[in-house]
Amino acid sequence: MRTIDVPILDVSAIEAAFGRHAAALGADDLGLAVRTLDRVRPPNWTLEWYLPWWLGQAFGLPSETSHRIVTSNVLGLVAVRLEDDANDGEMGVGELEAARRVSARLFAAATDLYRPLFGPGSPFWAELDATLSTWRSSAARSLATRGAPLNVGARAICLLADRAASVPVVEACLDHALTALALYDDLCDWETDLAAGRWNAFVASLTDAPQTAANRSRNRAAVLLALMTGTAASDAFGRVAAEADRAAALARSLGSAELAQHLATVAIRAVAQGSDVASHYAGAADRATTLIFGAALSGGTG
Amino acid sequence: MDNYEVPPHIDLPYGYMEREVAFKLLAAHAMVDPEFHAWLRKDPEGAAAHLHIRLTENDLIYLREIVDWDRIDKVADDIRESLRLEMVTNSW
Repeated sequence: MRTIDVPILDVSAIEAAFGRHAAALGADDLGLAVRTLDRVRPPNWTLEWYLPWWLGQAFGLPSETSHRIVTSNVLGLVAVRLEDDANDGEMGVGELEAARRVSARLFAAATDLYRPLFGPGSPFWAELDATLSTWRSSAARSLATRGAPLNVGARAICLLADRAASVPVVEACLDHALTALALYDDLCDWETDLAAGRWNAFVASLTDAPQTAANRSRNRAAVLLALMTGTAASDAFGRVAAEADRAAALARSLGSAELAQHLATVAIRAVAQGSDVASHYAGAADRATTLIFGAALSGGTG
Repeated sequence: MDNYEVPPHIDLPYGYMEREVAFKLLAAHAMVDPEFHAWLRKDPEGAAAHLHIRLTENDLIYLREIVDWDRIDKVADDIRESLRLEMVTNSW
């Protein structure tokens, strides 16, 4: 694999660029934009911030171009996050209008950043429309939310670097990376999702019962039992690691050592965290067994 | 292995490991399902049978007469509290 010294992404410069675009919003709307930006920062959103940078450097694009695309990615990320918030149905009317208004303005700013890079006849615009249509119609909204800005930015990098042939590999890499992130999110959020009535992949992997309010207690018990008495934790974190590893291998084949390293680190952490969680729940099961059956086990009531 | 003694034959429906696993299943169910906890306390034979576990007569006597369920109820809350995933993820 080709190795190059990738300059460090100047995150504060990206934030400043975001601030300049958001400054055109009114004071209240600016506050909403900045608060939303605070929710999508690294390290939890490292891929969204760094993917165009890493790919751009690997494909030999000028830093200024990659920087512009990162800024567009971050504007787009905040825009789709706000639109998803608005669609969640948990906002009041005033907040809802503000979220939709700010989302539309930031999305327009994100798109405008591409105009000097692609002429009106460029295939990029059709691909942008297709990605956004997929996002808006997607049932798996959280995965699509993460995927939309990533896909747009990655395609732009490929086209600008004359690497259209790499698009399928980049897409496959992103698919595996996003699957890993979505599985990980569902693992960490399964209790809050269950309580809020949101479908959760981790819960679905452990119980056949529909994830309805009527089944909430039953599903919670099923998941906890699987964690305490089975291999649910290591299996689930292992699936995250396997997806991240596949994504890392594809990143290596694209020549991006930084992207590959990031994804490999996600995989390594997932395995370690799976071990932590498995041992925590096994310990709880042991304590429960000792609590109720301690004397029976040691004394042999049989 | 000179000092190894063959344990006396015990007429159990399953071996020690199976017995441990069976107890762990029952205890884990009791932690995550309040109704099962109450059932195990009131009718251990029926509750165990629900999980396809056949307890010995001595185990049933143990659960009915020896186990201090009031004490268990107090300690069990700590274990239940520790089952929240954020108890683990907060340390990451």
